[in-house]
Amino acid sequence: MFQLTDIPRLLPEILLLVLALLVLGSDILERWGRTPAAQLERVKSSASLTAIGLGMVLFVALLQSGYIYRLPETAPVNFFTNIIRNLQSGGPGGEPIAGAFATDHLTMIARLLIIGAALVTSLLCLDVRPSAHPGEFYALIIFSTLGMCLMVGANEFLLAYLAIELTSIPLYLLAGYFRNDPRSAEAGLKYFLFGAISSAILLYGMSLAFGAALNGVGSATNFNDLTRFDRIGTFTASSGGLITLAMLFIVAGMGYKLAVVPFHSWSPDVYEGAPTPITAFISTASKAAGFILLFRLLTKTFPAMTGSPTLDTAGGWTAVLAVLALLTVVIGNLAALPQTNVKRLLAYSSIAHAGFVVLGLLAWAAAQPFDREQGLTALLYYLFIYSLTNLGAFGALALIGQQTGGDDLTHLRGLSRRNLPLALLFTVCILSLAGIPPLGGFFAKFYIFMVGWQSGATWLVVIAVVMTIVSLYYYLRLLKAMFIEPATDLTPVSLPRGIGAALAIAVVGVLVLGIFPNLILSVLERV
Amino acid sequence: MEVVVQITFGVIAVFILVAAAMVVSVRNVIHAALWLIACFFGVGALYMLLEAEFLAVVQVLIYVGAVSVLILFAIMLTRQITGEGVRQLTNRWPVVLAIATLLFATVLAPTLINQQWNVPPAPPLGTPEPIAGPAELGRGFVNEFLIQFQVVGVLLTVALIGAIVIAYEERARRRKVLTLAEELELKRLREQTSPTVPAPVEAEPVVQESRSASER
Repeated sequence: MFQLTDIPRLLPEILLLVLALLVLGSDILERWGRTPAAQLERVKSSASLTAIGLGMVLFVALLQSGYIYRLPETAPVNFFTNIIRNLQSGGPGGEPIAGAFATDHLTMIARLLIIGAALVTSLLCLDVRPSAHPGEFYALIIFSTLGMCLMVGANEFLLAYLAIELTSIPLYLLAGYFRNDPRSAEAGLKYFLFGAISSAILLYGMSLAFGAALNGVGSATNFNDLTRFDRIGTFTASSGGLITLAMLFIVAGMGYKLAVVPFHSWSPDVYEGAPTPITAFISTASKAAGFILLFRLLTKTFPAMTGSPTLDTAGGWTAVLAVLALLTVVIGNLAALPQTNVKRLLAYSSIAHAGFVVLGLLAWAAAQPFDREQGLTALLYYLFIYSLTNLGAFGALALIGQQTGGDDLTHLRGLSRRNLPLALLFTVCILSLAGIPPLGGFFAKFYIFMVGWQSGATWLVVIAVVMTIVSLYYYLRLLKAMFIEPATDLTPVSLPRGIGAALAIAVVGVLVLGIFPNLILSVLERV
Repeated sequence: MEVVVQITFGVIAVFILVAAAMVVSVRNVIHAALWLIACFFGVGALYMLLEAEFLAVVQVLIYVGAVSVLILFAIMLTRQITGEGVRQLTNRWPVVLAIATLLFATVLAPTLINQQWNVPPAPPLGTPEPIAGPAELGRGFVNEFLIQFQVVGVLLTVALIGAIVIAYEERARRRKVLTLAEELELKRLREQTSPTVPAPVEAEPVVQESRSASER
């Protein structure tokens, strides 16, 4: 049952919706001139409104979460403290809203991650701009963010599915937004077709799970709440083949969204064709949201069929995930080796990173509760660092692509002589992706491997470590192109403010969280 | 009674499956759309069989009435695919069929058949159906499924925006909409001038229109 007091708990989502409508509406009030100057003006106003608005939403969400500043009980009562107190009363905790939307710490942390990623993306989009329909472009980014926020809190099949669609449909449109570029149009269509089929698979799995749960209930009178994850988990504990089939379909459907091998074939093409800031957004925020939804689905809906990460008992979703993780880590890294297009290379690298995150999900199934908590913390930390790093890397690439006219390895040549600060920022991101200490990527990988090892998936960790070493080759190839190979063209590359700010956020985040991981781990451990 | 219901279900199910198969296999796209309408009708009949009269009526009104008209309009306004020559199946469809049948036979069918589908017994006469009636449905929308209901609203808005973004072109780039006679004339002309190489379809009217726009 939805109550009025639940509205503050949905505040970030409501603010995002308002912001999206505001961006759409303000575009109508702009002057729609034909001259390039007028069009630029129109694009810029939408872009800055989006960036500022997302910044404010992030601020409100941070304040509401109470992770940075928690209002003490003894604070004096005045206008400002009342605002903060009311905000924080809607913070993490409490039962799921109407049984459908959980507002626990996991949701709150994931919301911060997603809104943050959207903010960085909108900073990138300040400089890499659409040529037509700017209001819709930026509004779609916000709508997609809204979908992701709903996805991480979804506690019920219907809302989970709707949130996935609300995330995906804007992303299909955004991937194909630059219609003058045939690559972009292809990416949009491909993403749409694969997404539609994966949605169908996911829906099939959900309906099977619902059928199995209905079966377990017997003749109960009211089964309107049977789409909730935990209710399905209760009623399907003893049913056999059907719920396994449902689990397989759901994992496959989510696997398409997350681009884990063997469901990855769409992602390099889409990542390559989509506008680069959108690629950054797809590869970070939507992946993070998908992983958190997958975590909720697996742990709440299928707790009876967990299995164990050591794989001494066959079956359960751990076995499926172990196979997926193995394939993803190996094929993702090996396929990245021969790539000559940097966007494709980073696409395969992000497939490989998805494999490491699956390893973190596996650790959740460990026998010891301590290992389970560690597994979830490691997973969240990995998602944070990975998102920051990838946003930075794709952001730098967006700038290089815009100014050198392409994103092949040859376009990177001699970047250190064309713009040293940009090359250095890009280098930090790449080294973090490769996992070089003291950057965040190193500690994230180390942590994931540690919890994986403790939970018993030793052989998988060994393979992942070997593949990390393999991955060094293609990451270092990027550095070689930037610093060693001679430049074919020495015109300097400028670093505009929007992308510069986004890169600075990413690099500072990676450095600080890598050297002082406790800053964020203390928050993540509350999950 | 049971038997009658089961036979009816069988007939409807076969009808839906045949119609769906025709949708993806006929060559003429308009025929495919008509088969899709037949498929929608069958689904409406299934709802009727499940005693969800409201859903059945809505299905017929919205899918058969509105959505199919929309599809037909979209086909008619899209110039290149109105012809007969569209192939929906590749040469390798028997292989795909074999793989799909194999998967279905080995994984899906045994699981689904071995499952004891425990259908809850019918409630005593006079009690309302859990969610089938419009009143219950409406109450569900504003109580238990309020968030989902709102999210559907946002989702449809986004889809609307997306459709406009895809379909709407800025004025300078917009193509002149031709009448059917003009289209046929254009097609005939093109076939006369270059019978072997198909000319780029979009090129001519776009150029004309943009030139006249710039002259203005």
